[in-house]
Amino acid sequence: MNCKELKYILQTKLLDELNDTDRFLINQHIQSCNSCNELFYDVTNTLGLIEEDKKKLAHPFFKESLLNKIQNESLLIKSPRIFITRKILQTAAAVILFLLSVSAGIFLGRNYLISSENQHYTNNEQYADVQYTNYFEEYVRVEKYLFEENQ
Amino acid sequence: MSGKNFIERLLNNETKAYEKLLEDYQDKVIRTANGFLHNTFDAEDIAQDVFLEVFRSLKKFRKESELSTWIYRITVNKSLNQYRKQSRRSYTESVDLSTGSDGYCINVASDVTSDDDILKRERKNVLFNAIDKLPKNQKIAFVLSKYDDLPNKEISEVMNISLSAVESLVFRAKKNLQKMLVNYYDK
Repeated sequence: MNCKELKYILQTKLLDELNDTDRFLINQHIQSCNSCNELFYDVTNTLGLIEEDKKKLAHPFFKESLLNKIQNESLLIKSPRIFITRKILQTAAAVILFLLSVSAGIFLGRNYLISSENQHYTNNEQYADVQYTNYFEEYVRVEKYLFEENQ
Repeated sequence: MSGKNFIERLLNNETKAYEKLLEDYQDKVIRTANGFLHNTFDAEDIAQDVFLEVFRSLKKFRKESELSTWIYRITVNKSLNQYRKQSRRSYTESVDLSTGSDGYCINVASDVTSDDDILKRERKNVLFNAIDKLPKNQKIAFVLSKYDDLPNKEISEVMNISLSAVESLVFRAKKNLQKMLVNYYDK
C-alpha cells in the first residue's frame, strides 16, 4: 500500500468497518510512513473525542433547580392567586429585610459616631492647658497626668 | 416508565413522577443538545427549556408515540433553533473568546496549558466544525446515533422517516465526517 491508496481507503471506507486485510495493509504502511502515521492517528483520535464528549453530565443541582421551576409553574397554573400572593409576600419580605438591615446599619453607625465623639471629648479633658514645642518646633499638647507627675 | 400510567402521574403534577422523568432523561437530553451545540452550558439551558416545554405541553401530547420519542423531538428542535441563533452571531463573538482557527467557540479552561490539552482542544475544534458542516438530517441522525446511542428504529421515529433512510443518513454522515477530517489533516 502507498500513501495515495491509504488516503483513498480513509476517504471511502469507515474506520470501524475496515476489514482485516485493509487493517493489515494500513498498519504495515503507517509503520514505515511518518506522515500517514500522523494522518491516521489524527483522524482516529479526533473521531474518538466523541466518546469523551458524550460523557458530560448535568451539574449536580440541575434536577433540583428544574423541579423548583416546574413546581412554581404548576402552582401558577393550579392557583394563580396563591402563586401571585406568594410572590408578592416574598418580594415584600425581601424589601422589609433590606430596609431593616439598612436602618440597623444607620442606627449602629450613629451610635458609634456619638460614642467616638464622647471619647474624643473625654480625651480633650485629659490634656493640660499648657503647650510645649517638640523637637521639630511644633506645638504639642501634653497629657495632664504627665504634667502633674512632673510637678 | 413511558406507560400511560406514568403520563397520568405527570399530568397530575406528581413531583415524584417529574423527579423520575428528570432522572431518566436529563443526561440524555443534555448529551443530545451537547451534540448539536458542543457546549455544556448551552446544552443545560436547552435541557431546562425542554423539560419546561414537556411540562407545559403534556396535555397536548397525543400518546401516538413514545414519551421518549417526543422528548427527543423537542430536544432536537430546540437544539437546532438554538444552533441557528448562535451561528448567526458565532463568528464575531468567538473571535475574541476562543482559540479556534475557524472562529469556532470552544470552552477554555483556565488551567489548560499542556501541549496535549492544546492539541485535544484543537482536535475538538476540528471535530465540532466538521459535525456542524454536515447536512441537517445527517447531523440529526449522527448525533442521535453517536451521542445517544439510540437504535436506528428510535431515530426513525424521532425523525419521522423510514429505518433505511436513517441507516443511510448515519452511514453518509460518518463517511462525510471522516472525509472532512482526512482532508483537513492531509495538508
